[in-house]
Amino acid sequence: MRSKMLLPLLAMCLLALAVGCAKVPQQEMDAAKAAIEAAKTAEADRYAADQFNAAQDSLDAAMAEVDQQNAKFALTRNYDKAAQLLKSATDAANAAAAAVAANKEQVKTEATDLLAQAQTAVSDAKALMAKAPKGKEGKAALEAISADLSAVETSVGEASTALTNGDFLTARDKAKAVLDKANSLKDELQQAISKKRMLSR
Amino acid sequence: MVIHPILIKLAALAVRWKWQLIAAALLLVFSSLVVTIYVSAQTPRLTFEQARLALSQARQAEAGRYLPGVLKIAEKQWEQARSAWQQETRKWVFSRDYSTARKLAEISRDVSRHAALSAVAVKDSLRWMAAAQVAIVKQKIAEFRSQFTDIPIANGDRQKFVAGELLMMESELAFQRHDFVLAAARIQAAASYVGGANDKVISLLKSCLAKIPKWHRMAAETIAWSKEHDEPVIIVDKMGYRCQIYDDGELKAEFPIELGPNWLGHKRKKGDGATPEGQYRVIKKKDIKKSIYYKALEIDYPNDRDLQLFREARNRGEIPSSAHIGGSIEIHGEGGKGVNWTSGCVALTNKNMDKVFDLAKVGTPVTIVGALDGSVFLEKISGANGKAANSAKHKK
Repeated sequence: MRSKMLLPLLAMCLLALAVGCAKVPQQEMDAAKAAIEAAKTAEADRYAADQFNAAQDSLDAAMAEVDQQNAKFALTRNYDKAAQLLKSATDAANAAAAAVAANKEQVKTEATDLLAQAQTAVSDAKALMAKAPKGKEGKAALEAISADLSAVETSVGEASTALTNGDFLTARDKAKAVLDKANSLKDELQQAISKKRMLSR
Repeated sequence: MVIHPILIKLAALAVRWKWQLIAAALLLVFSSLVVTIYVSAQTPRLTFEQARLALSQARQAEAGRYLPGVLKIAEKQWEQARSAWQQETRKWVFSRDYSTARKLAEISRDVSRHAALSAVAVKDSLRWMAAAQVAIVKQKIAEFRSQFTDIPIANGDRQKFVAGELLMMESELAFQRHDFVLAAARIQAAASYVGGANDKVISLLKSCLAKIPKWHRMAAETIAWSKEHDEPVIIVDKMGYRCQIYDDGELKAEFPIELGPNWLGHKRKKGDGATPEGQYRVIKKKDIKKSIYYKALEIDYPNDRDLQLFREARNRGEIPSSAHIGGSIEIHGEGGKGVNWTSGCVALTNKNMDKVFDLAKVGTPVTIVGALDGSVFLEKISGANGKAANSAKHKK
């Protein structure tokens, strides 16, 4: 009896294993992990934090689902849900990377424009210094403005370095601050020049 | 249609072993059901789900930004929990023990929950701290500009002050886009620069304040000489921007003056734009034809004391060895410009210079002091510190 049962049971098991065993979605797992790593390298955690977090959550959920299915009896495993979650993770990571690229490009453009404006404002201020009252009475004020411009130029250099290094947010902030300060120095110089013109009439 | 002989044989076997196959299939289904139920009861699924959700919430709370170290611990525990789970899964089903995996998942869950709560607290704390510091630094900048407009500030200190201003503006921009970590870091740097420049100027003012007694003594000696000799004397009060004429020990006149841009402190070398402090005498009277500044009274700077101080400073390396002490310090006209514009001389309007010129002669004592009224220093120091002006006054 036993020998008569054993062979059919073995045949049934082999057949079930050959036909019924679900496969771990290894390709999808590798793709999701690679997509998240690529998004992280692109600073998605900084420039597209919400989308990046969603991708990470999907991946965690997917891996937990894979672990759960792996623990089951082979014939009852089903990786469909895990595969779906992995696809969501990959899509979210790719969306985050795309958002980063778009955001970075926008910030880079703003930083570049502001830096150009700041450099122009500094040049204008220097040109105004050449026209400012040269007499002894203006010398101390001019020296003070010259010291201020020196500090502003240092900051322009730092903004330019940040832009070159791809730190566009820092570059934008520095360029904006420099632009505002340079414009205030220009106003100061223009007032001094106007005052001198009025006195000389 | 041709059917393979092996398939025919398998079909015949299946018909012969019909009941055995049905029994085997039922046994297989029953076994898998037992194993499935057993495995489900053993796996720490609920704990893992809690840990995963807690990790997600920690990330949404920006723990990666505000508590990166703690989030890393939670993530590491999560990975270790998964690894422990996978290890057990590779074992035979009835010998699996998920207790370690469960414990690690619980730790990850608890750390994540702590990270989520704490990140919110840290973010709020940074936001308020950054906002408060920006307000303080803005006020310091405003006070610095209002109190020290007429105080000569070294170029290096001024550049640091402006660097602090720029950092304050960058901090505001980071704050506007809710990057409170960066906002806090920048405003701290700004506070350091602005505070440093502020402290240097206050230190200078305090050192001047300490010299008030000496200056009072110098002025008193000069006034006493005026009384003793029944002669006019000139006292220049730099901080008070006034030139006083005493005759027979009595104040006869007082005129506003303008000085060099680096007027606070004693003259150290030629070209520093400073007005010297000390007791001098008129050595030359220059009328309109001989002075480029209307009329002038040249004094005997540098005297022996000035030379000694100059040599000592040069020996200490405080001034370059190639520096010269300078000279040709005068009280002259062409003043009234409203700014400190001389190279170290004392300038009066031409009208006032006429009066001083007529009173003075060669040998007339000229005493130049930093200040006779210390309350001005106190007001500037208090104003820069944002406190109410001190009511105590130093009278001569």
